[in-house]
Amino acid sequence: MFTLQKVTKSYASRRGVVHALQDVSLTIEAGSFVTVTGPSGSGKTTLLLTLGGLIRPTSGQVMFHGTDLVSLDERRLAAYRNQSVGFVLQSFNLIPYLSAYENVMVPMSLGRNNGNGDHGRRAKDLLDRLGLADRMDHLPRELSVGQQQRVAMARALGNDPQVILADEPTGNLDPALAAEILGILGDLNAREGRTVIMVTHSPEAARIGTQRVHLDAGCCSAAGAVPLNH
Amino acid sequence: MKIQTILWKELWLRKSRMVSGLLAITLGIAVIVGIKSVASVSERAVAIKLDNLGANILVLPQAASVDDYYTADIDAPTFPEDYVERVATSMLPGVDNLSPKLTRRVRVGDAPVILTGILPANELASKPIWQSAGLDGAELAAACGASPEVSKPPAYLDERLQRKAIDSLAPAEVLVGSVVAQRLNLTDGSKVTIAGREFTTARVLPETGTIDDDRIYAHLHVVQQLLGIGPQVSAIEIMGCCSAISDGLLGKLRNILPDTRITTIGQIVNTQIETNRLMAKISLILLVIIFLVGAISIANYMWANVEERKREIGTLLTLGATRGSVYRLFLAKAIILGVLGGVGGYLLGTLSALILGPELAGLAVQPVPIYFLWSLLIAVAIAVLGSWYPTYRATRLDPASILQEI
Repeated sequence: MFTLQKVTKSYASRRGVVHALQDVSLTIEAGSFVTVTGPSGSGKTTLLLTLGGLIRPTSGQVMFHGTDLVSLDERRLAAYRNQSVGFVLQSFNLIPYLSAYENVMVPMSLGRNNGNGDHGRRAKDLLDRLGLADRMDHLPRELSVGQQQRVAMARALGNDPQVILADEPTGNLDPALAAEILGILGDLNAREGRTVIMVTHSPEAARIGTQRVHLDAGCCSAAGAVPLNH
Repeated sequence: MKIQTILWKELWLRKSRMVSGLLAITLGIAVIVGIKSVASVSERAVAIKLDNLGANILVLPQAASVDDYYTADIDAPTFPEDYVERVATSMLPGVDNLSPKLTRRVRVGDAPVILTGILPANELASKPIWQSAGLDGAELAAACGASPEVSKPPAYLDERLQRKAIDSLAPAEVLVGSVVAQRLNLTDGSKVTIAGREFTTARVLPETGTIDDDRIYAHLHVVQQLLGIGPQVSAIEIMGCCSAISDGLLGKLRNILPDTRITTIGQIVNTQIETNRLMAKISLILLVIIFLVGAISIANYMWANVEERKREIGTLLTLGATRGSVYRLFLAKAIILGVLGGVGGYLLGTLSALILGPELAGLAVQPVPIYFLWSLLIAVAIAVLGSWYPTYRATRLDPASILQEI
């Protein structure tokens, strides 16, 4: 599904050039559950956002089903983010003045078929499936953190993407809620066949991955498939 | 859900922020409109006061002496009266009043006097001191009445001139300067014989302290008849707008009347020009300052609004929005706030000027409709510019840093 070849991302800063990613080469198969670990500043989020088409690497190739994301223009890259991937972020990033229901509909309204009347029903189905049927009209501030993260997951699934990119989705949650969210991500991978790529600090959370990537100072120091029974 | 829903929801559910933004724009525009409205009225008031300094251009025959502006018309050679019409029909901007006159020294008994033929209404307009002395148009008409013999006004083609040349001084009446009146013992209603013709003193004029106190004024056409000169005049006094004079009015008049000598009262014209320049400068400085204050207050709000929504911008980009669609979303909000603030600012500014103008500046202020259009344009332009740059920056920042900013 994803093939990264010698991907480097460098930033110019006051202290000189910072290499967030250095010559990262990686293959991610469709349907896998990839966990990305590493210390703070190791480039985990940069890798995730590169896979999501939000960051253009300084050099290298990021192939998605044979298409180099680097070569796509802004409009196509936006369409890729909208249709092919769903983001789940640590701080949820819900739009504060939209209800849970409207937040889930945002990616649908940004898509090509934004006039589709089924969006409302799909948003309700997704929220219902994540146990939020009675919270649809609530604003984010009226929801618990766990509920907010579930709204964010429903939003990520809005356009039925093949890939879920999760940036420390359990970082702000207590262990019980974290387990619940990991369970949902596991289901999305195991039952629905979606590829899940999750950045995490937690060794426990990392263990559920079928493929683990470890980054250190922008370098991919370990990557590979892990037996499903590991 | 349409993407525009995000715009309306943000405006509606963040009412207090919308109100504070609207207030910033409204107050900014209100200050600009209010001060500009009062300033434009005060400029007009100053212009009127400058006009009241009196006529400031004198047209004389080429051969006339111009040693003294105030006596230059006395015994001067003449030129045709239709020169007046020539100037009037030229529609030169800045010509406010034309006052033709024919002046000759004559004797009344043994006493030498200066007899000046005038068109009364025009003369009155060019001599504010007569008006301030209570000799206004209505009084003149009542005192002088219409002349059945010479009352037919000259057939000027120009409607503007016809309106100005009200022929209201009776053929057998004169206005007498204060010094002459004293010398000849004339009072209102006294009889005086000039060149063998008897006249009634319609009014002894108030003292002016100038050569005019030595004059006896009769109707221009009567004087022309009396002296056997025909339709000729020895001078035309013109009230010229000072900005027009500085824009070359004298040169334009010389082109129309090439065989005349055209001169100005330098002191009056210079005062008028200098005062007008000063007013224009003060007005411009004031406008620039209030424009900057208003603009900064609007731009500051819009900037802060975009800054606090940077994470939202990052989120929208993550979910598949293009930079263009984020721009449109933020600029649409700026346009909505700009339009509402422009309308509100115009109304508030105009209302303030209407109330405070008479209270503080003693000026009756009228609403200026064109400012409505300017208010809208300025408010929208500043709101859009104030939003555009921070939105531009936010859409170009590293999404990772936007998303992780809290």
